[in-house]
Formats: sequence, structure tokens, C-alpha cells
Amino acid sequence: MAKEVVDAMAMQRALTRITYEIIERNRGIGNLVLIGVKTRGVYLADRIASRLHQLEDTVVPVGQLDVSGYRDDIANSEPTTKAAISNLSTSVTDKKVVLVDDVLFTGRTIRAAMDAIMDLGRPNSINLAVLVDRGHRELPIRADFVGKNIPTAQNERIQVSVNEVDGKDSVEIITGKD
Amino acid sequence: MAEETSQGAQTTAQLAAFNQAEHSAEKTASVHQRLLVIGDGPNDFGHETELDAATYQTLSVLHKHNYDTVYLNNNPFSFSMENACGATVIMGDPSDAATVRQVIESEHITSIVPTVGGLTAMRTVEELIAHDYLDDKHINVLGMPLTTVRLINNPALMNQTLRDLGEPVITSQVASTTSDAFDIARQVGFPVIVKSVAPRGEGDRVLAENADQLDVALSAAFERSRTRQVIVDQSIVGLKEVSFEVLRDARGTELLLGAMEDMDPVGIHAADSIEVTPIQTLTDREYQKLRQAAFRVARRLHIVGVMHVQFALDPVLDNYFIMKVNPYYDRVSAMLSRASGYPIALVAANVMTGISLPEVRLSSRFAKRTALIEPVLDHVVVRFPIFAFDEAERRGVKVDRQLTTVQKSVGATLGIGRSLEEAMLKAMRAAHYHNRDFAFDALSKLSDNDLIQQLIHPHDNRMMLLLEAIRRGYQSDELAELTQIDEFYFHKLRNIYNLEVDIAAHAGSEEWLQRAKYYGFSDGLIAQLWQTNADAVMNQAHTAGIIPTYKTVEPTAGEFSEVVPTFYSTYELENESRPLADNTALVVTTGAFRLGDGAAGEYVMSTVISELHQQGIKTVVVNNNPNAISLIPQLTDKQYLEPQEISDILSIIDLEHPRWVFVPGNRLKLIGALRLRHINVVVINKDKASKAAQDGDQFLTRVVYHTNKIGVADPVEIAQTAYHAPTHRLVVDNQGVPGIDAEPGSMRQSGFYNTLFSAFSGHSRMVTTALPFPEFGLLNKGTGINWIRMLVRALLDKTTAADRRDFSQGPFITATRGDVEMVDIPVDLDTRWRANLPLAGAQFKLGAKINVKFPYEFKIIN
Amino acid sequence: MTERYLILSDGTAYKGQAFGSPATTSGTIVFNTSVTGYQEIITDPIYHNQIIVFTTPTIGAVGVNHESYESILPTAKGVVVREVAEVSTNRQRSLSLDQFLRVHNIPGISGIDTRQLVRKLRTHNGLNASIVDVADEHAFDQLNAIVLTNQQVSQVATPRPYANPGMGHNIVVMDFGLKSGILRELAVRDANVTVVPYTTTADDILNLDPDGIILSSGPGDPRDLGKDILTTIKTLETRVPLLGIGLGHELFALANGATIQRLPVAHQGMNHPIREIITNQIMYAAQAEEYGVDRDSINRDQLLITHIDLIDGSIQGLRHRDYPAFSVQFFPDAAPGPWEATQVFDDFIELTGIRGEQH
Repeated sequence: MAKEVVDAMAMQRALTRITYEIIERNRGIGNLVLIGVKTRGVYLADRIASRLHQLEDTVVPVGQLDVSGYRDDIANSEPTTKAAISNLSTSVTDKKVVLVDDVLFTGRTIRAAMDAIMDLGRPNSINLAVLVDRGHRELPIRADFVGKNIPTAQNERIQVSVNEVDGKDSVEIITGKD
Repeated sequence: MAEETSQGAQTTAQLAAFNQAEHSAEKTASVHQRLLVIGDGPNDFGHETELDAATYQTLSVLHKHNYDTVYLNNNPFSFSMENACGATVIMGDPSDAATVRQVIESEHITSIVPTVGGLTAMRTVEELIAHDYLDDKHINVLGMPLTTVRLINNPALMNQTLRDLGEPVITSQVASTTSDAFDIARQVGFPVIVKSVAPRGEGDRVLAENADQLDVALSAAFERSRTRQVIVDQSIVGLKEVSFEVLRDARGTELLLGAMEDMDPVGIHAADSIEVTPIQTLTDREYQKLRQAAFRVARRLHIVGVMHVQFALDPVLDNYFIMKVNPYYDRVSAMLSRASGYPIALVAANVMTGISLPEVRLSSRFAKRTALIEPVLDHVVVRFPIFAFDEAERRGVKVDRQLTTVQKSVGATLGIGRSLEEAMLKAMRAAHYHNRDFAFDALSKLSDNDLIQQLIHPHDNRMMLLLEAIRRGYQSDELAELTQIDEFYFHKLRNIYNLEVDIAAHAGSEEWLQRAKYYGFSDGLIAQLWQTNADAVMNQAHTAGIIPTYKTVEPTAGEFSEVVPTFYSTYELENESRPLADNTALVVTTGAFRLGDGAAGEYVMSTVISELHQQGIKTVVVNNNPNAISLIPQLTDKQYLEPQEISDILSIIDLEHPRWVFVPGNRLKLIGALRLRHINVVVINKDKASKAAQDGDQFLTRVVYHTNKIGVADPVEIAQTAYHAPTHRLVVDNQGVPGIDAEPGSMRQSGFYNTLFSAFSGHSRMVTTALPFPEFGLLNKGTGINWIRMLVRALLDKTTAADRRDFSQGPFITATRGDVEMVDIPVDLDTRWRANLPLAGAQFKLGAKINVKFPYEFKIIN
Repeated sequence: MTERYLILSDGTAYKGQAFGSPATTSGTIVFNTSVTGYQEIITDPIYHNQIIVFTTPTIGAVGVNHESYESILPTAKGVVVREVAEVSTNRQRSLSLDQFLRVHNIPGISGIDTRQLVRKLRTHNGLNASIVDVADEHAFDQLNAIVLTNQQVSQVATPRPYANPGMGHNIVVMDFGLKSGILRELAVRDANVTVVPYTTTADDILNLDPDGIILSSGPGDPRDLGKDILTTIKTLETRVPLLGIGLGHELFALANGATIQRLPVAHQGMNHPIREIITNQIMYAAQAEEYGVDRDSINRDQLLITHIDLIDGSIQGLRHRDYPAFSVQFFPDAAPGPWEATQVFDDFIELTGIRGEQH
């Protein structure tokens, strides 16, 4: 059974607020790079970039991080392939990197993502923005920008839908078999 | 997991694209499309020329944006088919799915525009969806997704969707048998509303208050249903009925175009109600709640264009129900567009093609970005329905005058003023009551018992009835309880009544004359109260300098300097209307539709206007029909939304000093009054359908053009037709009827005439009359020559060599494929009006269609 | 019906019919194009010292009800309209507009060619007007001699703090002429509200340990309020999430170095499209503006422009780059007005929530 907990309007507002907070935290966006975690994190990063562009008339580079094969939501799984960054037109060295993902859960994806970023260069800083923080962390990782905190049971699932791939914007809690 | 191929958004363009994707999944139009605009088909109940008007505006927008467009229609009175703004016009039945499929294939259509074809077009599209036809052909529908088209055609599904959205809807259940329907009625309790699932024609809602009425309602509803199913609804009779019209673009920007309230409660069909805009009796909270609800529905249905939502509001319990969702152009759109001057059809057409609201460019008449302003009014607009029951009763047919959930009105007028009283009186006056009906004492003989009965079960004359009740001392709260009409209106009606008494008591008083005019009393009404004649009142007002001031109809309530050339009269300080140039023609168009040839009249007069414009003449139109195509600002240089009584026309003439005044030939009193004042009247001659036609006779005609000015034989025959009810045919061969020997007396002015040869008299009896307006539909559509424009040129002494050639070709041989037929469509007046005898005859017709064996490309020489 | 006159400081006189209070009154004349919400408008403290012309032709049809007061004691100076509706009073309409205006000593005049008047007002800004019994020389002399106070805020704002308790976030509202809609929206979000006089110091406010601070809307020219308030705002914005509304928005802009100018034509209504720049989305909201932030004066390193009016280009929203502080020129409380604007309160409460958790 699916229950919508964030609708399209609320999702847009959350991304808007995260964008403002990124500006606030980084004292401007001059040195900023966004890296979205595939698949939905990339679209969220694009949307944040588009918001920054609307506000500041500046294009912030967006990279894509592929964590396929790396399952955050299954306990004890180890990555079968290494996470890798693609489509980034600029180096990350000395940049303020903001990593963007849809859901923060155990923290393992993010650790892998940080490793991948470090492999590419030496950023000035790495921040984490997530649309949903559902709790149950297994690593000492904490998001800097959170759209919505949604406490969940272990057997529940959070499903983020974005218009670009899913035809709608929403966050749903899925319980039982779907 | 499949590898994603999406590219990083590194460029501004891509960013914009992503931005777009977030806001909406709705597709924007690509440039390589070929669009099919589905036509409105024949005129019918509740279908005047508003769709033709919207179509013309839509075609002009598509043309401006270089869309390759095809327009399919078979309405002989379609102005758009003859003025298609570069679109390919196909003559064919737009309500026939097979025809539409044929056109889609032969014309390589990629997208369909269903929003200016009314509910019929939505049904046709649904039929196309049904067999996955559109999906298979990769054809999309502009304005809404296919799922929404489906919802529009399936009330049960729509109700479920609205309920899922959290919107209150009426408890509504589908029944396939009479016994199922009774089960539902027993469960929700009487009264209930019965309607057909997938009805043929416009769906009707019938109120049943008891088992007998339910029996009757069910058999009619099952009969009408294409699926043999009916819907039984819980009744909400007595609630306040309001309509909100919203606009939404592909990026999700939503704005409120306007809202109307019905004076009459739910239980009287909205088209039969007296409607008022702006909203008078809602608090801001109620207003904003409904605005928000309308937006939610538009968002859920992914509307890209206009949508009208009809609500039933219970102000006591502070809740509402959604009664109707119309995501296409309709009479509410037309009315609100006329009321505010906001060009709804133009903006909707832009938005439908994917242009966002901030990007919509209007003509320079409007302030920049007016398209984005939510219209506000500084005037009141009242829409007044027209009933034509008298036509039936004059022919000895009894009809049921009680107003119900079934539409009985055949037309409407609007009145604009600066107070409700003024707007109301102007609307009633525009309705052209016989003086007898409009007299304040018209109902003085009604018994008290009948009065109360009619207060509870109102008839067409309820305004007079309410005034009579006030005269008899009923209090506002009593009346509100009996009628379920908001007390506010009784205070206003009482004000009208008090004015009437005071005016009557001050015969000849200049002060009271001023006051009477200020509140919208006409010369005729004042004359009644003063026991004099209208001319005397008009002269007194003129002498005293009590003359109308014209104010602009524009959407910003005076905040911006919009130079919209649309005006209404009132009696205040400032006149905003400046006369146009010397070379101006005033055109009096059709006014409210009654029965018969309303649509044909609008078609003819709009063509007259268009030709005048073509000839470089400035045109001013005066009309009061909210659905009239002649009122759209694209056709004329200036519009007066005014009643058409003699004094109204004279006031406009005093201001504009037109060189010509064009008047349809049936306005004999007006023509006489203008000629008396040496005004240059040009008559577009016409006659009602002939007596023979009314009696269902069969006859042949010769259509002739009479003039002595253009250097052709006079009169000259241009066509022959044959009539065999309900079919009019253009005839190719000479039918062997006697030659023309028209009585000169019957052809007083230049124009078209027809001479009838009755079959019953062996084709010998001969009557010559002015050509009835509907026959122009057959002539123009059948021959591909615009005879109306030729007439206008002749009247202006601007006949061309080509005209002369067309005129003198002798008996006309139709240029198109074989015989062309125009068929009067049957009107279900008998059932709507519950007539005791069949209402037959041409004067009870509302529309016609051109019969086409195979769709073909229609071209006309203008 | 009693005849009275509306006279303007440009020397014109309009004859009309009296309703409401029979008193003689004077004020600045402004027009409002809203179709609904006359009660909310008349009771909004921003209309202190002002005579309001309604462009909608008839007002009064829904009477006066207890849900629609924006202040307890309205301070508008007069109401001008074409027609005022009589209504029967019942449980929903405890008073008619006429009775209400009598009770509060506000004169009204009907039967005015308001369209002609508005067409004049849109090019003659800042005219004063009186509603009088006789439009003679004396009346005009009185009108021309009148000096309207520029201390409107002190006349309508609360002189002492009060609480509007709730169980949620702790919000302090600085009252510059607060309208009830703001408190209503906070109550809907269950905020625990303390309303304080606008002269309260930053220390006193911070001692209340607020999760967020609202600078309320109010009447008049923000420049008349003095520098101390700007210093207070500058201190508060670095410490606690802050939202400025209307006059509060103008003060927020002034505190952050922008300048304020009087608009060529005051804009009052609820039908202008307002673009939220960050999302490029358009919404509508009630607006009542005589002053606006001068776009060129905005230090872009300090403030972001977040909203603009697409019709007149006016700045409708600002946000501090470095702190969670933002402001809107329009009225997000939707009393009266379109409801989509109330999102601003959601945004604000969310912001205070996040800070709250980080404390």
C-alpha cells in the first residue's frame, strides 16, 4: 500500500528551501558543484541547479554519480562495482561540492559517493542534500540540507517519484508487498 | 538496471528544459504538426454562435503561429468555414467518428483540437480513443490528456476522480434497470436527479420528487442513453449555483477568469437562470475556496486552456458540491469574455499550443501582460434567458412553462450597468419583451394562490412575478424562503419597485427622469409609468441633456488605461467613447436568439461586417447577445453591448455619426424610426421562412438578385432550390418551373429574393419573398461563392467585374460535387417544453447541417 | 436618502448619498480593485487615515460577519462606492455594512462615478479627500489645511505585548499595525505567538527565545519609523529566522541598505501576477502598496530578489543571502485574497522548525 507523504507542491517547496540554504551556507554559489546520485538524485540536482540559475543567472555544473549495483536498502550488501561520476564538465578540486540524493537511509551510498568524489580530486568541502531523511543510519553520516524528515519502520519503503521519469512528483511510503 | 542516457544539464537551454519538466508533464506543441480543429456541427439548444466565435479566434491564433491547420465542419451558418484564416476547410460531419478518421488519414493529422467544438467534439474524440485509434496513430489531443477526455464523457468516473481529489461531489450511482434506479432513490431519498450515461445530444438532468416522476424520468433517460444506463443523483435543489472559469497553461500557471452566480437556485438549469457577474453574494472566504477548488480540478485533469466548474454552494453549512466540469469553450466562457473584455478564446488558443501565459501577446489595445491579470469588473453584468413559449402558444400548442433542470430557454441577452438594477433592467429590455409583458402591472390579475405556486415553481416570467409579489407586500425574507433566491436580490428588486412607484408619482419630473435613467429604466417603461409615449420621454431626456455616458468594458476596473473599444451605456459623469472616423458603418446584429434563424442571422450580419471591413470602412456593432460572434472584438472596430431599442440606437448614432446604419430586414420598426430621422439605413433584406415551409409543403424556388445599379439584368436568377422537409437542395438542372415574373412590389430594395412554386399547387402558386437568412448558408456553402459579400459590395456601389460575372452566369450550376443538401436538424422542443401537440415547422428549428456523402475540401470566393 | 459630497484636494466635488456614519471625515484617497472582501479591507489597519474607493460596483451584500475582522477597531476614514447593498441581518450577518460603519464612526458615500474617480486617481497620486455635507469653500479650505499624521503605526499598533498561545513553534510578532489574518495563519499552524510593540528592543525579543520573528504589515511610510527599529531588525535577522510582511518587508529592506520610494500610483487589489523567481511560478495575492523597494538600491551581495510583480515590475519579495530571513510585499494571509499566497507561512514555519531542531 502506498501513502503519499509529500505532494508535488511540497516537493517543490522543499527543493526551493534547500536551494536557499545552499546559498546561505556557501555564502554564494561561485565555487559550487552539484553531484546527483542516479537516478532521481540527478533530477533533483538539476532542479536545484535550475533554481540557482533562476536566482543568480549562473550555471552551476551538475555531475552524475552512478551507484548501480550498490544497494543501500538491503542490509549487509557490499558494493559489486565502484560508484563513478560522469558528465561533470569541471574538476572537483577546490570546489564546494553538494551531493544530492533522494533518500538518506543507512548512509552507505553516501560513503561510496564521497569515495568516488575524493578519487576525482580534492574538493574544498562536501555537503549533503537529501529530499527525504528516513532515519536508520549505519554510518556517522548526516545531511546538511534535508527536504523532509520522515521517520520510517525498517520494513517500510520510501518511494520518491519525479516528473521527469515517473510522470509525477511525490514521496510515498510503501508498506507490505507492492 | 538499464543505463540511463540522460545528459548532464550544463547549459541554460537544458536547464530550462528541466525546469519545464518539473512544472508539468504536459507536452508542448512541436512545429511540425498538422492540426485538426473539430467543428461545432449544427446549432441546437444551448449552442448558438459562441463556438463559431471561439473557432474563428482559435484559427487566427493558429495561423499567427504558423500552424498547419485543418477545420472540419458541416454547419451551414459557420462564419469560420468561410473565414478560416488560412486553414484548410473540410466539409464533413465533425460528430461522426468515421468521418473524422477519414479526415485524419487523408490529411495526415498529427493533433486534434477538441476545445471549440463543444461537448459533441469531446464525444467524438472519446469514440476515437475507444479503439486505441489515436494511440495507434500517435495522435495527441491539445488542451488535455486523453484520460481527461474520457472523464468528461463518463460522469461516474469523473465523480470518482473528484472524490479521490477530496472534492465534494453529489452521491451518484449508475443504474442499468428501473428497479436498480428505484433502489438508489430509496437509499438516498427523494428528490433525486436522473440523467443518462453517454446521452445522445446534450445530457439532461431531470428532477424527480416522487415515484411517478421517477418512472417518467427513467424511461426518457434510458431511451437517451447510448449504453442504456442512467445515473441517479442525490438532489441538491435549492443550493446556490455558481460558475468559476479558470485558465491554466502548460507550465501550471493558473488564473481565475471570472465567476458568475445564478440568481436562481440549483434546480433551474443554469442556462435558464438569471446569471450575474461579478459574484455578488459570496464572502471572500467562500470565493477563494471555490477558486482554489477549481484550480485543484484543473491541475488534476492536466488542463491546458480554459475550464468551467459549476458549484452548488450551501452558505449555511459552509460546504459545496462540484456539479459540472467543462474543460472546453462554452457559454460561460463567452459570457465572461464579453463581461470583462478579457479575450478568453484568444488566450486559451495561445496557451493550448504550449505558449506560457507570460509569453502570450495580445493586441496593443491591451496593457502589457493583461493576459496575466485576473479580470476584475467595475460594472455589473446580468444574463437574462429568453424563452419562446409564446411562439408555441400562438399556434395553439400548450407547453409547460415551469423552469426545471431541463434547459428550456432558446437564447439570452446581457445587460451591463453600474448597478444591479441598471444591468437587470437593461437585460430585460434587451430581451425585447412585448410591452404588454414588460408592464409592471402585467400580473395584477394573478390569484394569490397562483402567485405562491409560481414563486415555488417559477415560470419564464419570474422577474415580473417577483416584482408583483413585492407589490403585494411580501417581505424579502418570506420571498427568499419561498424561492430560495438570496435576499440580496429582493432588496434590489424592491428598490426597482420603489423607483417605479416614485417615478409614476412624478410624471414629467426631470429629476426623476434622471434618476430613472440612472437605474436603467427605458424610455418605454418610463412612458408607461407616465402614461405618455416613448418618443416624448426620449425628447424630454434629450432636451434636458440626460444622455448616456459610455464606459469601457475592460478587465482591470480602471486600474490601467486599456483602450479596448467595447462600451456600455450608463448615466454618469464621464463618457469614454470617442467617435470613430467619418467612414463608419453602424451594424445592428441579431440580438438574442429566439427560435428559427438566430444563428443564420449572426452568420449573415457577421459576414456583412467582415465585408465592410474589407472595403476599408470602420465598423461599429451593437448587440446584446453574449454568444454572438458579431461581438468578438476581432471583427469590428468598436462594440456596443447595448439593448437595441430605438433610443439605444439613436444615442449611439448621436455619438458616432455613422455614414451607414446596416439593419437586418425584419427590424421594421427600427428601420422606420431611423428613416423618419433621415438616417442612411441600409437594409439587409430578409424574411422568415415562408408560410409554405412552415406547413411542411414541398416546393421549388428560384433565387434572384434584384437591383438596378450594378449593370446586370434585373432581377437576375442565381440559383434554383428544392425544399422537401427537412431538406433544402441546390438544384443543378432547370426544374421546368415558370420563368420569373416577380411582383415588383415584393422587391422593394436591392437584395436577394426567392420565388416559391408549391408542389401542392402543381408548381404554379407563386410567392416572392426576401430570401430567408438560412438560405444563405445553402447558397454560400453550396456554390463556394459568398453572395452576402457580393450583396454588401452592391449596396456600397462597389461591385467588381468578378461579381458581375457571377451574377450574370444565369441560372447557377453548382460548382461543387453534385447536389448540395442542407438539412434542418430536429429539435427536441416537444419533450423539453412538454408540448401537447408536435411543434413542427421551420420557425421551431434551431440549426441545420450540410449533408455530405464524402468529406471534401470547401473553398469559397470571398 | 441624505445627499453628501466627496471633495478632493484638486478642487473637484462629487455628489452622492450618505451611508454609515454622518460624521465629516478626511484622509488620503486610494482605490482598491478587489471584487470580494470589503469587510477585511475596511478593517485592515493599513487603511489608517485613508478613504477607500471600491471599484467593484456593489459592496455590502454579505453584511459584516465575525470571521472577517482584520482588526477590532477599524481606522479607515471613509468608504466610497457606486452602490451599497442593503442586507437582512441574521445569524451569519450580525450587522449590515451601513450599521457597522455607523458603529465605528466611518462615513460612507455611494452613487459616485467611481470609474471616473479611479481614472483620475491613477494619474493624480496622493490626493486628499473629505466626505462632507456641503461642498463649499469652507469645506475645501478645511481639506487643504488638513495635516495627516505620519505616526500611523503608533496609532494602530499595540502598546503592550500580549500572547496568542499555541502548542507549536514560538513566534514573536512585532506589531506595526498587525492584521488578524497573520495571527489566523499562525494559529492554523499551531504557533505559540507573542505579539510585541514595534518599539521592543532586540534583547527583549530574544529573551522570549523565539523560533521565528514576524515583522507585521502596517500603515504609512516606513521611513517615518526611525533608525532604532532598523538596528533591531539587523540584530534579529542574524539570530532568528525572520519574515517581513508589507510594511515589515519595507523595513527589512531598509535595514539591509535598500531605499524605499513612493509608488507613482498606489496599487491595491488582488489580481496582479506575482512571479516567484526561483521556481518561475506565478501566483496571485492581495496587495496594498503605496511604497515600494527601489530595485536599483538593493545590494545584491546581501539581498536576493525573490518575487516580482509582473505587471508593474515592483519588488514583491526579498531574502537575505546569509541568514534565514525573508520578506514579502504582498499579503500572504489571504484575508482577503487568493489562498496560494499562504504558502509563505508554511515556508516560514518550516524554516523556524529546522532552526529549532538545530538549537
